[in-house]
Amino acid sequence: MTKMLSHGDALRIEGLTTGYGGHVVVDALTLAPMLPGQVVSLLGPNAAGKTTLLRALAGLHHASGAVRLGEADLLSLPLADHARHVTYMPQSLPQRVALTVLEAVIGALKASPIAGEPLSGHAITERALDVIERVGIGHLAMEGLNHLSGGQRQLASLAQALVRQPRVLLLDEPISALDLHYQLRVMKLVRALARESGMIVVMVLHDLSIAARWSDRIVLLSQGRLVTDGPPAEAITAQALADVYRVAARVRADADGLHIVIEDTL
Amino acid sequence: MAMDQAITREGTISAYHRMTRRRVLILSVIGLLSLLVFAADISTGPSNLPLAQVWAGLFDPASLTMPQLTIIREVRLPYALMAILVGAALSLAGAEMQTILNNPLASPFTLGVSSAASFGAALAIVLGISVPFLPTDWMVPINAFICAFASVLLLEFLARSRAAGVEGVVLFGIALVFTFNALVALIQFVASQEALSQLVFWSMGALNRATWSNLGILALVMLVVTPFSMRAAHAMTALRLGEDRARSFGIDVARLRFASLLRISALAATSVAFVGTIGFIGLVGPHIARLMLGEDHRFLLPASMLTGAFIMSVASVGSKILVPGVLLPVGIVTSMIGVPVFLVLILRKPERV
Repeated sequence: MTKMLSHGDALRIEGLTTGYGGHVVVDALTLAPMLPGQVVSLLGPNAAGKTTLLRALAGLHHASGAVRLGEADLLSLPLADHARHVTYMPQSLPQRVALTVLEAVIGALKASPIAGEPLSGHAITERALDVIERVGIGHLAMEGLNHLSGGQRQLASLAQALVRQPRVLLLDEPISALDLHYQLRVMKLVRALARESGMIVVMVLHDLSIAARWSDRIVLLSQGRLVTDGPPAEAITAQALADVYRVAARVRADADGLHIVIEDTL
Repeated sequence: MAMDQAITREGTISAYHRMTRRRVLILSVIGLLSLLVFAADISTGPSNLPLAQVWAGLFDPASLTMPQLTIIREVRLPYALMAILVGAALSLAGAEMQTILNNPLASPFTLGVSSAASFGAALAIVLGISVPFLPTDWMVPINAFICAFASVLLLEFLARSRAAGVEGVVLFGIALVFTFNALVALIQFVASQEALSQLVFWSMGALNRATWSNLGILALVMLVVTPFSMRAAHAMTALRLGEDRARSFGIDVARLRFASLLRISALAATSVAFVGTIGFIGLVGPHIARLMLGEDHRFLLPASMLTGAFIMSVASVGSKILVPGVLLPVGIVTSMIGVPVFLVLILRKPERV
């Protein structure tokens, strides 16, 4: 069932319709191919369908249309095969779990076979520790998840997703509980990993400035439909923000990037 | 979230290996303690046969009288082995149930699975109602299994529907306990005098129905079930990180749940069929194991079994020595141990499990 994926495989979403129990949340969505190494941020108001889209891409609920990774048809892959290519980091964090950070990350790796050669026990530990150190919680590896702050648990959650080294990484608000330092650290890390390994990163964010600064592409959604899709400076415009978020904003692009000032509600 | 430079990678790796070694050590210690209590269990009883004589009876039968040998072979040994097996079975069922339903209060006893099983068993014992063409030895356990499985399917359906939270499932479980207890009472009401006395003692949970053929059936069920539980250990550990996450890691959670519920039913039903409803072992065993070893299920599941076996053996010894000269139903003793623990679990802050 599993097809080999070459390094240059794009993620294609065509006519994707999905929702919950008869209620359509994302309606016939088609996006330009997402290329290996790209960081794509999904933006939009509450209930725009961002999480639903991410979950459908993760294979967590039923969708019609086409989602292809290279030649592989992701929508028809069984969960175990799907998980070789795609990893999803949900917004909710584990509660009341008596596992250490290291155990949780190793658990993520051992849950089902990942792409490539099977790893030895030693290699699994090393790989888990590499990831834990890169997200900046190496000193907490032997700490219980229960004893961590919300932000630390979010970093541990990110490490669980990263350790599987997926072709497509789906992150649902990965920095919502983090302080400023770690917000930037995570964005930098995710982009560096995308560049290094050709991983496609699709994430839901709320902070426009952070999304503009660290994404290659912005997909702006509203009520399950595509509003704009393109490089940050093209996708985030005063008009688009007024349409989607009902806010008055000034947007200015210069050599330093995009400057967004939100002035008032409309 | 300041970086603590004092903790090196080598330090972390050696701490991880230390933790693993410590867990193996703890497992061995509980195993050893269980063996010791087992030895105490076969050396206590109304008939005055101390350990030395029991030992002699096992390895040098000629040195004892025939009645003494009968006591050892037909009473002491099967009762003590039954305590070990039932404790391990119920505790494993409880550990899986707590993970699968994501509910720290779940156990075969607290959520009504044991009550359902005892209803099924009572049907067979008193009214002789069962699946046709079954050997007599299997009638009671199969009946218990069918009812237990029906009750876990109901529980799982409720746990997955969005209407019921963790508390809802517990309340529903309590409703199951009451319902099936009432049905068992109804059967008792119509039962003959002889069947009734058998049923009453058994419904309190007692080891006096332990026979070698019952032991064989329970041992067989455990031999079949345990490898499947251990094979699912990684998946269950990942499930503790959240259902969405586990599925995104490639685990078919629906299938994992269904298989686990089958195992839970088989374990709980076989135990209940032979010793009646034993309370709280399935709740207390896994919690103690979790406190000592955490939730890596490769350790948690065997530790739960050993802890359950240990507590059940202690309860069995207690049932013989608490009131001198009287053999208490062992279910009364496990409840005396279990109720305080159950209350502590309910009353403590939800964040700290």
